[in-house]
Formats: sequence, structure tokens, C-alpha cells
Amino acid sequence: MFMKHLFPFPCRLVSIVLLCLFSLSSVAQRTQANAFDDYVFWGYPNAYLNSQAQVAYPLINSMLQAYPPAVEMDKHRQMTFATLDQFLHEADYNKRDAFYSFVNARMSAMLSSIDEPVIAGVRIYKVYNSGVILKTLNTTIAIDFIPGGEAYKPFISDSVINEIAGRCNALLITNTDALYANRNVAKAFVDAGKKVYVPKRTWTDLGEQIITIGADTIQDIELSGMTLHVLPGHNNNNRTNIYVMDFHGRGVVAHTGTQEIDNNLSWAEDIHKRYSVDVLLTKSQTTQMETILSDIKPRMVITTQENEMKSSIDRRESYWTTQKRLKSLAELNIPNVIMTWGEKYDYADNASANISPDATKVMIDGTLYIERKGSLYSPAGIKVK
Amino acid sequence: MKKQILTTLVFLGIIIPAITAQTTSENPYADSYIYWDYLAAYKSGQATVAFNNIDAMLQTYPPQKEIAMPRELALVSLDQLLHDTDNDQTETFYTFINTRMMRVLKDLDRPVEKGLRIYKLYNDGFIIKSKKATVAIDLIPGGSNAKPFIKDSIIYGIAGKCDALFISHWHADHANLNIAKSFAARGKRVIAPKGLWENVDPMIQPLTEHIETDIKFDDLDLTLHVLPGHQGDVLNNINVVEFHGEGTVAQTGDQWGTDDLKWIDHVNEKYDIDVLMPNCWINNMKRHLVGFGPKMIITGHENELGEHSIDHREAYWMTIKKMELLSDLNMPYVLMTWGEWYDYQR
Repeated sequence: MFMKHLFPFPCRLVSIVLLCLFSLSSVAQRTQANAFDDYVFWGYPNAYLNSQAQVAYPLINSMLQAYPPAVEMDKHRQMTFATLDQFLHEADYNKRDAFYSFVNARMSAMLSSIDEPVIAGVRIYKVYNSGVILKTLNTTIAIDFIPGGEAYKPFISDSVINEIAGRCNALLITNTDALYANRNVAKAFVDAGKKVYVPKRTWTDLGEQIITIGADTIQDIELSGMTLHVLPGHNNNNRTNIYVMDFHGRGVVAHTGTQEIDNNLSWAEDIHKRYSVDVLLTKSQTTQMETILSDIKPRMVITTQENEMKSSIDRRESYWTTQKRLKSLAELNIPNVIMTWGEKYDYADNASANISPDATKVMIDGTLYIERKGSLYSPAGIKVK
Repeated sequence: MKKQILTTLVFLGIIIPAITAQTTSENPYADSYIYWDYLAAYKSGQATVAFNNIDAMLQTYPPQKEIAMPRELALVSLDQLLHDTDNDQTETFYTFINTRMMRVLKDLDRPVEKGLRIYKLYNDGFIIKSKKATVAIDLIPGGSNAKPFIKDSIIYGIAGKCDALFISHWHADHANLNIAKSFAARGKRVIAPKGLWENVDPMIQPLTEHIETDIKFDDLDLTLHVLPGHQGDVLNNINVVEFHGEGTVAQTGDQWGTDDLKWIDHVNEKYDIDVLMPNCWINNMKRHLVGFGPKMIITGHENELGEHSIDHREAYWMTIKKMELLSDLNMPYVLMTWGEWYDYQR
């Protein structure tokens, strides 16, 4: 307004252009990659927060590697999770490059060990949200594997998706909602010659490798190295699949997918009556965790779906709330392991026989056995001789 | 016009009760640690967990010259909390800082047999304790007069265990008249820069000239050497405290003066500084370190809250980075936070 009265239009235009150029050049000065080499951020709060994230995420990553998943959560790991929760509950987390680097680092850590043979029991990798990979000596199954983020900027890159698809026998999907199912991932599995099991007809253009499973009654399906029991679950009015995977002596793992809070928990009772579940993979954010655990009675629980980043901050379930919730159920005496993206946990159904440091691996006629104290065990921990 | 007013009233009648209901009603899922639609409660819970974890980790990994990774993460975690302004006024923050200060209050009764024990308080506040003397520099409670960060019972308890107070300059984040008066009331001397608190109390003694000044405390077996620094136009005492036979420390206050660098370059020729305590954001840190030539460094002034915007709440991780840039000087440094102490011996 002041300028309008003082200067004619051409003059104003030149002034505005000059002002813009000046402003842009001064901004550019401090937004160059090396502009904060002196670690002085006065006047640049966003640059400060970016740099803080650049420092924090690699530290968190290092701490997670130093203090891996365990039944009794170490206080170092506890603090690491609480710190990670803080950063993942920042409103602008996805504007920080360090966040994407962190996810990549976590996925690299996962890929670096995924080719190691799983001698005993089941190895569980947590990917993102409800996504996990289960690996035994002979079978590798991905469940609810999605890249996260936006289509134009996913958290997990295509190359990582392809690497995983190439190593898995199949992909199981509990629910076709975008938080559990992703077409690009399904296509990567199809392209790798793998089958994708979905709860309702979808992605028909991807061909016959997309297989619809699940019904109003339980289905039993034989897959490579496992029997898959498909239970009819629900998310409100939508039917979803609950998977109980029996790895033929190496462990029984149940994944409840997106099974949602409802008053009818008979599905959980059924699981307990029918199956002896070793590891339960279940949603962390539920008001009915006690009922679910009491009914299913797993030997161990590993929660899923913490820090689903599309949720609002109050609904973005944090590791610390999961820990508090499980701690409040300590009287059930069900051990729990809280994991974050890219971590692994080895569950052995007969741990004392298999993972003891005095055990050795032996190959007899091309078959792997565990030798310990003069006895021979199968990789699942079953005594052979 | 009437229609507009009516519409506005109807709108407010719907919105306000809805907001009030959400913020005042009890979270039905609190027992399950579910905070859907209760953002403030979620954030408060998160901050409480984080502050507790940080406090535990800092106790497990106390200040050392080599910073352990868990301690580094604890400090970064603290930086994150203290750079979220939502936490500034929360009870969980007050609990955190007062818990840590209470430990200082208790530890001050523990004798020092040899060397110096250096306590870090809030902002640029330090206490240095030798076998014969306990000296405070820039001791303040932080926060506002209405709601100080450190409770009166704790900050005045701490002040009560000190033998003298030295003030670098008049800014409220370094100088607090009530604290100074509490020293004077107990017959303890307060040395302030020229012009500050003149004629308040005979025991509160501002310098008469802003020049290099030596003040002996025979009863405490120490000598205070005041060096005439500046923060822009503000007179800033650099307090060099020589604990005879035990060690010499220098606290720079808010030193930020380009002209002063000419004489600061030569401080090491006159004083044998054991521990230098510069403000972490001092201009030209390298030149100050070389000029003072200390055997060890402990920075001050990180995470000053209150009115400081987050871009100028100097984080602990920034100090780590700044000191990494100066690693070629081979001067060890110890990074401390509120309520910690470090034993220094020559």
C-alpha cells in the first residue's frame, strides 16, 4: 500500500523483482547443503530440526543394532524406542530426509541377514506397519508387506521390495486395505514367480498368481514347508483373514492382521482350542489385548502396527504405549518382544537344544542336524537320536 | 448484520462445547494407554516416559571425556524434548529438572578431598567445589518469577551451601537479585560486573571499574581474577577462579566481543587454566580455546528455554559437532547437562 502511493507501476514492478531476487539469494545462502557447517541456526528453525534429525536417526539406528530385540527389554533399547517415538511423532517427520535414510538403513540391516539360514525355529522380521517376514530353514513368507509412505515417495524402495520378493516363497495379505496390501509389492512377487494370497478378489490383471483365499469357515492350505490355516476375521463389517501358519515342527505363528476391536472375540477362543500358537503377531493398539492373549495363549507375543505414519499423532501407536500396555498384562506371563522396522527375532520352539553355544551344526546325507551333548536334533529341536 | 451475529453464535454454540467436551472429558481408554483424540494427554505421556528414560540413562552414563553412545542418545533425546515448545510448561519437565537439581543439593554435602568438583546447573550456572570452598557462578532458578524452573526450596538450598557467588553480566539468564540477596543475607560475598546491583547490600559488590581485577578470598583459599569481557555493549565479567593448589577454572559468561579477542589470545600467558567453561555458542570458539589454553573444556548455556526460539536453544548435539570441528586442538571436553557433576584433578 505504501509503495503504491509513492511509485508508478513500472517502478513498483522493478522494486518487487529486486526485492524477490534479494530475498531468494539470502535464503539460498543458508539453504545450501554446507550453509550450516558452523552449526549456527539462528533464524532457521526448520534447518535446525532437519539437522537434529540427521544426528538422531543414525544414533537410533546404531543403538538398535547394539541392543537388538529381546524378551526383557533392555533400558538402552527402551530409551531408544522412546526417542524414536518422539521423532516419529513430529508433525513434519516426512519432510526430513533423515527419516527416509533411517528407513533405508533399517531395511539394509534386514537384507544383510535375510540370506542366513535359520537353523532352528522361526525367524521373524518386522518390516513396516503390519508387515512381517517369517523365515524357517526351508520357507520364507511375507505377510502384509507394503512400502509405506506415498506412491510418489514410498518409505521402502522398489529395489528393496524386489530383493524381498525374490527371497520369499509367497506373500499373504490379511486385508486389501492400503495399509496392508500394495499392488506394486504384489506385482513384484508375481514378477518373481511367487504367489500372492489375498482375502478377496483383487488385482485380477496380475494374473493367476493372485489367489483368493478365506471363507466363512476355516480353510487349510498346504504350502511349501507349512500348513496355512485361514480363519475368518473381521474388521467391522469387512471380512479379513487371520493366518495361523504351522511350520511343521519349527513353530506355529498366528498373524491377526487387521482384526479389529469388536465385542465378538470367539475367533480368538477358536484359535486357542484348535492351535498351539508359539508366536502371536497382533495389532498393538487394541483395548482388548488382555482377552486376545488370554484366549489364544501364545508362548510369545510380538506386536505390530506401531507408528503407522498415516495416522494422526494421537493414533500413531508408539512403542512406549505398547510397552506400557503389555506391562500392564504381566500377570498373564506371556513374554513379549517389541520390534521396530527391519529388526529380526529368532524364535526356537526348543531353544535349549538348538541355540546353546555348545551346539554344533552337522550335515548328514544332505540334511542339517544339530548335535549337542551326544544327541542329534532336527533343526526344529526334535530329538532324532 | 443480525443474521451474521446469529450464525456466529450458533457456530460457537456448536464448536465450543465440542472442543470442551473433548478436552475435559476423561479418556475412556486411558487404562489401555490409548489416546485417540487426546493429543495433549498423549504428548504428556510421551514426554514423561522420555524424560524418565533420559534421566535413568544419564545416571548410568555420567559425564566423561569420551561420550558413550547411550549418553549421546540420551542428550539428543533431551534436545528433541527441549526443542518442542509444548513441553516448556509441563509438569513432567519441572519434575525432570527438579529431580536433577535435588541430586546436586544432596551431593553438595559430599566432601572434595582433592581437585575440583564441577556441578552444572541450569543455563550457564556452575558450582565449583574444592576442599575449602564452594563457589557459584551465574546461579539462577530459570523460568519466570511466577513459576521458576527450579523450586525455591532447592535453588535456595543449593545457594545456602555455597560460599560466594560470581555474576558474569546483568542478563536475567545469568543474574538473579533474589539469589544474590540470599548470599548477602548469610554474609557471603557476591561479585558482580560494574553497575549491577549497586548499593543493594554491602556484601553484593559490583566492580568499580571494568578492568582486569584480582579479588582475594583468604578464608576460602582462592583468588578471583575478573577479566573485562563484553557481549556487544554489555559488560561481561569473565570469572577466572584460582583455587590455590587445586585448580583454576574460567567461566566466560556470554562473552561475544570481537575486540576482546586481541587480549583473549594471550590469557594463557598469564593464567594456567585447568577448566574453561565457555558459552557453547561463543563466537570464534577456536580462538577462545587457543587463547585460554585450558586443559579441559566444559561448555555452558545449552538449551536455554523460556523466550528462546528453538533455533537458538543450543542443543547438546550441536556442542558435540562444534567440538568435533575443533578436535585438532586435542583439548578434551566433557559435555554435561543440568544436575550433573564432574571431578577434575590436575
